[in-house]
Amino acid sequence: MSAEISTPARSVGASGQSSLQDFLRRLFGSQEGVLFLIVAVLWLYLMSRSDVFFTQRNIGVMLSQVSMIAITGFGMTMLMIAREVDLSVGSMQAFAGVTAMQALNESHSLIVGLLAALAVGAIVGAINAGATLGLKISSFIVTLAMMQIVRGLAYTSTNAAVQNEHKLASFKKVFNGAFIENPVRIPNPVLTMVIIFIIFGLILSRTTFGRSIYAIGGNPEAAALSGIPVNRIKAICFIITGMLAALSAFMLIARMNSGQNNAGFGFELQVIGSVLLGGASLAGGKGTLVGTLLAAVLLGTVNNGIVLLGYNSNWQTAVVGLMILTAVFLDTMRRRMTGQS
Amino acid sequence: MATTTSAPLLTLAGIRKEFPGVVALAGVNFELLPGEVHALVGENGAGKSTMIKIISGLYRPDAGEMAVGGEVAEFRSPADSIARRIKVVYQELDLVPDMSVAENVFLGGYPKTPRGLVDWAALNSRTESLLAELGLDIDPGTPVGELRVAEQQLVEIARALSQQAQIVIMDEPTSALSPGEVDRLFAVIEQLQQRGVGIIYVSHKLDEIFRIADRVTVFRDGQLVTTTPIAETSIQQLVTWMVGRELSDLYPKSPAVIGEPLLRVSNVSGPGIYDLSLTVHAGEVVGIFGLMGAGINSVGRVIFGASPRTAGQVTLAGQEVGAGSPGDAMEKGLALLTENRKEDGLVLPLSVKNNMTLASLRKFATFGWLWPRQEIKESADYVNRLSIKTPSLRQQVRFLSGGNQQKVLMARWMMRDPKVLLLTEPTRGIDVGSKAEIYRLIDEMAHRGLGILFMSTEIPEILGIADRILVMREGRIVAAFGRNEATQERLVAAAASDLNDAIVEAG
Amino acid sequence: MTKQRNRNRWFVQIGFALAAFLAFSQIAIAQDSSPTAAEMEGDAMVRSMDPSALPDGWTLPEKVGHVTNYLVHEWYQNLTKGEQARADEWGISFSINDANLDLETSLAAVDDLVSQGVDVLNFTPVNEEASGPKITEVAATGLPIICESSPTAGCTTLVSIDDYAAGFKVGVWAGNYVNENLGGQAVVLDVGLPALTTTVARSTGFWDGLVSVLGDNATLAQSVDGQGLKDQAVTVSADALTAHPDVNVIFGINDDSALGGMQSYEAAGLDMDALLVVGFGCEGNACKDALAEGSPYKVSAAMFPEYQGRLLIDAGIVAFNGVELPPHLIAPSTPITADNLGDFYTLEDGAYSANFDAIAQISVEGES
Repeated sequence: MSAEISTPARSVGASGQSSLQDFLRRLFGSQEGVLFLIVAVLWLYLMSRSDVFFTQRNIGVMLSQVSMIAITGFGMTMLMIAREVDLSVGSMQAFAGVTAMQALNESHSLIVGLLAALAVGAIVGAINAGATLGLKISSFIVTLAMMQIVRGLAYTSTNAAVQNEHKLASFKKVFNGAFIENPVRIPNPVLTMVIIFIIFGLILSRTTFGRSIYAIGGNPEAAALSGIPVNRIKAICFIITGMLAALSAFMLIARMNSGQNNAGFGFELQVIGSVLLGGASLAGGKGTLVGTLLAAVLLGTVNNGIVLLGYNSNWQTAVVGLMILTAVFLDTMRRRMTGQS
Repeated sequence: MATTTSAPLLTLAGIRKEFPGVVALAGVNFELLPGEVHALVGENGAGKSTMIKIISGLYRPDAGEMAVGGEVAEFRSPADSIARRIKVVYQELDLVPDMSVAENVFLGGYPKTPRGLVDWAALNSRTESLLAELGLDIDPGTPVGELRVAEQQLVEIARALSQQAQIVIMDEPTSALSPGEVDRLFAVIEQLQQRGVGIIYVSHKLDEIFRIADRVTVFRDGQLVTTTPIAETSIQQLVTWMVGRELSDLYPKSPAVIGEPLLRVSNVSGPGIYDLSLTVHAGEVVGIFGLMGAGINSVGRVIFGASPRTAGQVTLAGQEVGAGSPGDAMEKGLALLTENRKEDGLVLPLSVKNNMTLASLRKFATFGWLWPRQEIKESADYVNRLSIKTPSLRQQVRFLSGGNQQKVLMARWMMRDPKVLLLTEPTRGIDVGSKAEIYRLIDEMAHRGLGILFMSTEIPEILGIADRILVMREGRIVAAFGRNEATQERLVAAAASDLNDAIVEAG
Repeated sequence: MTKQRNRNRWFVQIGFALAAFLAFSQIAIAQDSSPTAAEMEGDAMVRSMDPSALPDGWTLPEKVGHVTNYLVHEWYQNLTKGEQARADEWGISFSINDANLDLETSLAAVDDLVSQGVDVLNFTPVNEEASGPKITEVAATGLPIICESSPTAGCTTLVSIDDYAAGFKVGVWAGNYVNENLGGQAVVLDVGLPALTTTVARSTGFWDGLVSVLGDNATLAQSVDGQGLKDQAVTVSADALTAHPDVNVIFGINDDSALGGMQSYEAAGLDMDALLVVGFGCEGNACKDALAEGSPYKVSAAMFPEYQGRLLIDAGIVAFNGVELPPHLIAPSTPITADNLGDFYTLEDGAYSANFDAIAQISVEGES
């Protein structure tokens, strides 16, 4: 059901249900619907508890933070639908970040820095794909190793941090600026997230490539026998995930104003947690970008709320674990309610 | 065979079971007599398995009463059912593969020495005598995992004997057996009957039921349609009851119009098949019959390129088909329906529509961009044409019945307009209504000029729909018959590997 | 499941990493009794060692080895640089084994160095509790063991700064700055690390120092957990600053925490001229550049890793010659600012070199 976010509901048989009933059934019957309700309730609660929560600035700050998890999460969603995973995206925050910062310092060009980050992402993604598909090793193992290797590369390429020596005025705007100021200020990372969401959302739901990803994750044998180039499509997903993680890294260095080799610890868990909570499963075949986006917003809201309400911010670490548990719980409940085994 | 005068072993009166939105059993009355083989038939979802689960204590009925040996029985768990000497032999056998035959037979109730230790000598000797009674010559010390499926099944039955079961329920026991093994199983069933054991026998294979059963009960849509002595009915009658309408002919076969040769397979070898050569013409249905393990399941895969081809040549309408490339085979006009719907056919989490269009995505796309309206339109056409029962195109295919799932896969390949269709056991494990539908589709496609290569282990359907029948044994074609010269006996004689079945016939 | 185990391990590693970044002593070692006169003498001896004049009758250790816990961090790179330089001056062979935050590796490295016949062992624990038995066992053979960062049972002495005192000093400096430049009112965002006692001591020291100057005019807006990592610090302080846009003092328990807080403040579009950022450590270029540039980052509690490296080597020589040492040898720390940066560090070709004579002059009296 989740595979078709864009196809209109269409019954072959007679359907006697009213549209409201149908709407409610679908709202509660899908992970996205449940997440939407949770986010809505949480926002209302925070609005009642804090004056600053629903201000343009706070929502902007919160969504900017969410955007890095979500952007990487969009790639991860595609990968996990195809029944693979990439644990190296956290280390990528460090390595692509320091590489991009070094390139910026050398070239004094934003584009060169961005391209350097994306190249690192594409290369690491290609290596992940090559080892997973070529050597037929589980991507969990391959990318676990890659996580260490990439982190090691980040460590060896700089001691602790690459500082901003280029002093480009446009650099900090990558994260802090806003291309759109009116009628609402939409910070650049949020705008980027929305654009990527639309592009990859359409790719997933409206292209043969996207359909193939779902088929591969649902049943790789069946997909191969239907003439789908399984390995090629999985490889593209790995590379996309690497590049989107690198894009997040580029936004992160703009935010920190330095390339830190210790950045991104635990980032992979935030991303994978969001993807799982968004409705994907480690068994593949399901998941949507809407779900991932809503889950990332939920994570961001909880983190933001913890600080706004003055709770111990250590809870933020526990929240990721809680999210994964919630994801599994919701999934199980939904299956039970719909009678799926 | 049945001693009809004695009191029933098992009585069900007004048993009802509902699940959210479905009435699985609507007030069923049923009785099982000692020494009786009572067959249950019905399409998938008709209520047979719900009834078995109630008898075995897995489900509790919402209403109605059950009595075992005249005493009211209310089962709270399978243990209660076992305590009343009821034994279910499931399709997936629940034996412990690493333990010996004897250990499995007495699992949970080993004979003990006076000091409370397991009495291994008694365990083995008692197992040996049980097996001997069943006419089995198996060493009780053999790990069960090393036995063939048929032998494992008999071990399960020996276990039933060791538990002194009075009621034995068999769920599709012959689905993985060769004809010789089926004979042996039936011999064992007769033994059980003579001991006064009552047997509930669930099967889709109607011809078997006429061989072994005393009475038959037909289910449809949760209702018990009728119970009748087997001698007073016919296959045609049973099918009509099961489907709820007259099936004029299970095997519609219009006169074949044989055209040009389409598929030529020359000296092809691959995993499990050796030096295979055959030709399929336009409009022709070629059947390949073989027993389990004879290699018929590899034929389609090797020709299609899903399994490696180590030697030989395949051409389709004169064009060479590359080895090991399903993509190329599809390109040239081949389509393959495998015997494992769930393993390599269906994408279970995807919708009916997306499963149907999976192999023809390019047809609905421009530069990779899909046009959903065309997809929906064509899928809906196929749902109607193949009378696929689904609430909507968006329904996940996992919720469909086996027969409807198989029709979805047929639609997937028909959508590609292939020249030749390779079908491996397309009716395995599906209900008779859907079977008839699939035979009709095969006939219709052949009539439109497609070539069909049809692999099966079931003789009736091969005889029913093929224009020409090849027999495969140990990976090689060993005989060929025209439609008119083929008979059940001739096919079995050609297919039987001398070893196994010779032993059975001698024993 | 493997995944779960690894996940746990990451968290543990991150925790230990922080212990490493901060390189601090717990002052938990029994401080009931003040150092004896003999120990005080040893302490003074360490501080006045001179490679050109080895005391009469002393012998130099041939080999000194340091088991570090996290060499990729800038602190350890600068610290070991200082050790190597000092060892070269003495003509001692110096080697490093890094544990990369792995306890097993760390303890195995101790065994390796002992079997290679080092005369003095310098040791930074990955986990002080778990390292105790091994260090005690090795110490029983008579090998001098100079610990760094965290006290460990069995150590001959510990070389590290006094967190609370160092925090207090920058707190006082910050109080005076607020009085002179920010109108005497301080609203503080504390980017801390509540999980470790050493970093809590820094925050407490800072706050007490600030209050000693400003009294009730200092208010704590919020304490957040930046985990000592810049990306985390940026994130939590961004959220905190939307709730408290009136913050005008940001304290970070290390340079990354302070700089991360400053980035968020700038990103929030707040007035950079009305902000004071106070950091801790100043071991890397980022801090020194920020001080020199005249950014809101005005002061940091400098910890001089290069100088601590020198103290580690000298303490080893003193201990090797049987001189008694106090349990805690206080390393110097002082508020470092744009004004005095040049006293302690010289910038040449983009690299800062430490001026040991000036650092040695910093008083550690009354600390710990």
